[in-house]
Amino acid sequence: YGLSFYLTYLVHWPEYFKIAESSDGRVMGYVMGKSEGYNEKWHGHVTALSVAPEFRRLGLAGKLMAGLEDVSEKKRAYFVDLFVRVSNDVAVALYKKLGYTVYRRVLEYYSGNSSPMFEQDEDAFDMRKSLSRDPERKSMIPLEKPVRPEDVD
Amino acid sequence: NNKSDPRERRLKAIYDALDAGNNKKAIQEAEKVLRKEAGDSLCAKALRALALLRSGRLDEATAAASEVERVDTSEESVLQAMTYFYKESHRLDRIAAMYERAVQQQPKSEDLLTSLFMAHVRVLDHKKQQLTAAKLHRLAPSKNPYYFWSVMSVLMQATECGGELASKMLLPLAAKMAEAFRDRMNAEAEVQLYLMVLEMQERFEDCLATLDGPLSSLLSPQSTEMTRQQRMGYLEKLGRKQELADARWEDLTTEPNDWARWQSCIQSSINADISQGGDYVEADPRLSELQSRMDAIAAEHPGLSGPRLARLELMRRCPVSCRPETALSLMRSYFEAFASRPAVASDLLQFRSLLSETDENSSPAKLLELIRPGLPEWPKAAADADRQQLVRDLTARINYEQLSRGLLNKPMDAEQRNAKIAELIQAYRANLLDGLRPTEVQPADDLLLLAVSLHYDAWLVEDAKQSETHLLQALYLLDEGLSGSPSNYNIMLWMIRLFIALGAWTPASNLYERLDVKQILLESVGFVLSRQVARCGLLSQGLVMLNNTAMFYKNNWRDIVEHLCTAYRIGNFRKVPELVALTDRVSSSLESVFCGLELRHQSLLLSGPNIVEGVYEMGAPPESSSSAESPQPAFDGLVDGRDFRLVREFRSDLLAATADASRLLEDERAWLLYRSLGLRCVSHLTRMATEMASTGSVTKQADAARALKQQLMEQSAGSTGDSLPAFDIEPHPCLPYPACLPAHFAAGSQALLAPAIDYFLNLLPPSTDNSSAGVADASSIDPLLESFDAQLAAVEVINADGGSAATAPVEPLFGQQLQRLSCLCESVCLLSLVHELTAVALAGKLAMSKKQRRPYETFCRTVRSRIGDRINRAATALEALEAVWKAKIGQAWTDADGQEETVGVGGDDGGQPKRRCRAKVDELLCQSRCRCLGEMLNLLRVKARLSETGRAGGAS
Repeated sequence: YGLSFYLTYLVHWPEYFKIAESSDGRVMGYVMGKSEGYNEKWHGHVTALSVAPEFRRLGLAGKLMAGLEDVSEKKRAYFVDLFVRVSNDVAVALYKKLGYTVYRRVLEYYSGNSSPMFEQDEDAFDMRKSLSRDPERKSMIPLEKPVRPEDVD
Repeated sequence: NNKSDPRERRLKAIYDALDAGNNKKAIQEAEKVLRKEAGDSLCAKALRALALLRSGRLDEATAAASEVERVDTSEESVLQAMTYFYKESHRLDRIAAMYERAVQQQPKSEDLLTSLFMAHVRVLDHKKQQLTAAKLHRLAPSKNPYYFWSVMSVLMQATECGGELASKMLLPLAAKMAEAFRDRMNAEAEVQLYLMVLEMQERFEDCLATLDGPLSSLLSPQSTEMTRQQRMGYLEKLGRKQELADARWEDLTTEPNDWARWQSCIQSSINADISQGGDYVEADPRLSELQSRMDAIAAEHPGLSGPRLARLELMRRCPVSCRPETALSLMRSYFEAFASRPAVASDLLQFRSLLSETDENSSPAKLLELIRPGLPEWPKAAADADRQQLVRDLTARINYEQLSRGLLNKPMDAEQRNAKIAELIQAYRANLLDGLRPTEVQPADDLLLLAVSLHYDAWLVEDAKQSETHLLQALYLLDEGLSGSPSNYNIMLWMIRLFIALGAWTPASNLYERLDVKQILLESVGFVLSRQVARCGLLSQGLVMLNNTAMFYKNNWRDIVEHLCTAYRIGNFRKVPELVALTDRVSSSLESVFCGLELRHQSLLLSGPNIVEGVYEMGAPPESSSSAESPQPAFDGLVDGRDFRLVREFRSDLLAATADASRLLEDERAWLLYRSLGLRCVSHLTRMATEMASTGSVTKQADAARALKQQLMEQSAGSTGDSLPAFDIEPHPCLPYPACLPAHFAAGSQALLAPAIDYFLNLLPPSTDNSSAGVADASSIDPLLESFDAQLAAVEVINADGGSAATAPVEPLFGQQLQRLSCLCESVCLLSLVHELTAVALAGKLAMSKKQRRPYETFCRTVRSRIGDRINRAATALEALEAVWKAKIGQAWTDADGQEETVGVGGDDGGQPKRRCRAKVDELLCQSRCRCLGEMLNLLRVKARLSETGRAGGAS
């Protein structure tokens, strides 16, 4: 992301930044996010979660996510949501393990040519996990039909 | 509303065109409005200026903008359009001036005053911020934010000036202002701002009282973590050691695997104990109590590595508690417990110094010997293998190999090394997993990378100056690794490093693109390529790269201050000083300064027919440090953001070299001084020529020219004497090539500058009478050409027998040869510039009557033919070398087809590179070299086309 993107988050939602450093001071991973929405849609959102390849398999992603969920709990959010490439089965499996379910599919959310690694447009899963303010897990009930990115609120 | 007045409608058409990025249409629409309204619409004028700016028509844009500036207005739409104009032309100071005038017209407008406040924020004018915020407060006394904007502005003045003015006047003022509003505080931001003031006044008791007092009700639940940290920070400042230690331990229990908390906990416990009664002595009961406390936590959480690593941390921080045999046994049990987890080797290597160098029983070698038997066998990936178990076993072996590289800490002899490489590569090949996504990396890659490190060791130790063999071997392996792990950035960084060492720009830059280095990565990773532009020839690709980086810094400075405005707007005062510090950080970035300077230098030399304009543009204020009159920038206080730890290393001696980047920063600074002097000199040649053209002599520019010459002399004297720091010709472990400066000095392109200055100083001898001012003797160019010849001779050795390509020897290290050649190209550019400027300087003389101009024409022709001859000779030398490399194109593949893959008994390939990788890399290198030489040759051929009449394109 551009510096400006990070700074927007840092100025508006500094509480949502978490970084994990190794014992010898390397950055192992980070998470950033925000809170938004009205009424029952007031929720925490995971904007980026990243763990360096050499520090995978240490349970860091779960730890960072727990931190973000904790902040969202304190802000009295109903749920936490995130977007992930449908092809990223490793990440999707991880989020499922952490209690997230696919709420809906967002068509062509990721545009192609955004990086040398991904050349095609790709759909996203919008995954959600209810927090204690939504004990009946209403916010997690999946939608049947996919939506277009412009219809995502 | 379509029925709104026609004027609105017409303006809307301009806005729409601008929003759509159709600047041409926007200009047309604006001109239409201006015709209809007889030039009355200020808004249309402002929008036209903006559209012109966005189309790159800078001069017209500036003219259009100054027309708007002449009228004082408070019209919102005009002010907004001009705000965009100034932001995009990087003239933020003008926004403030504009709103100052607008506010004079409407002093009671809250909106205008707010815009003025933000305009001051953008240029970091904290004093004027304060005054504007005070006006806003008087206008709307019930609005807290305005009041606290002024408190924050006072605080920032204190931060900026420091000293007594801050402590005796500004901070007490800020505190008084905040305290006056204590009862009216109604937001967390205001409490935090109050705390910031108290912190700066070092009133930490008051900070604690505030956290415990009624104002704490304004702190939000999500800030609990932050306030907890703040509280401990205050206890620390107050020296309340026991309370702090207790708080730290309590803090730890909630996250017993958090390394930062362990470090704070250990340090504060040591401090608290020692403050109670003297230093620790051996077998101090307080120490053993601390150890037991740590052991208890470790026992309670057997799966956590933090508590066990913390025991080693205690030893490191408290040497009296360290017995090497205990350290050894702790390290052993740590390894045995967590061997199958990633990063265990680097966890332990931090504590290498706790082991004994002298006692065999607690030495690094002993540790390895003890853990060796517990290791799993080398696993083998097979279709039916338990993949998770395989990865765990593999990780344990990798950890062991990394640990032994780090612990043994010295290069191996050739035999050991070859055996180790073979072992690692065979294990690597036996453990490749299939079915991985392209974004995942092969766990076995770390084995391949260790083998690569061994080759690199060998290159550094054995043949850094004579041969490319080890670099090539490493590259072949890396190419194999990349095909199995296309997104492994470690592999790509290693390949870039090695390609660069081999002087191969193209494959390195392709990999760099594949790494997707952009944005903030330019600061930490960009150096792997940006430093190569000058070394690998004057490449147009390199210019694009330098330009992108320079723009990144320039645009980001502007963006950061916009976020600063937001921080004020939403009341996130904690971020204000952080963002201001970030603007400082961006302006003092080494990478930014390096790329900016190199860009100016390279564009100046590359610019073709418009070289004279090019010189003006490049040397122009405000960012110019290139005019002779402006003082030489010192390049002090630059911050080096290059991340030398990117390429992973485990040998602690190499790691130490990596950590000590100060020498590398000194090298950079010396290079910047050298480069900027060169740039100022080249720029000044143009000024001299222009002065001659208009006045017939060098008068105004003469003193500055002599001063520059003096600086050049000092510089070159320093390069051989003791006054300049000694530069290592050896490659640094972090950078596989010597510092740029010595190579440039050795090549001698700067040596051309002093004679070039002399040449212009003496070009038109002062006349004794008006009519017949003479021209210098044509031999006045000799010293310049002699300097060039010396440089050319070093290169022409290649071509000793008169240009037969077949015999042109290729030097053993192409990287170094290339560097010399690219210096030669810089010199050619300078010669060509001297020729063009000669014509500029004599333009007036050449326009005289046929008889009068004859001596000048003769002079120009002589200069032209002699310079042309030199450039052609340089081109011939390069052609010979290019022919050698061209003949090799395709050869690697032919050779590969004729070879058998080396496979020994039982499929044992001895860790040899794959034939296909070898051929691919060899071919890439060959093509890249041809391309580099080809680009240089093209440049030389362009420069050899010296204009016939001697008229420089830009001067006409």
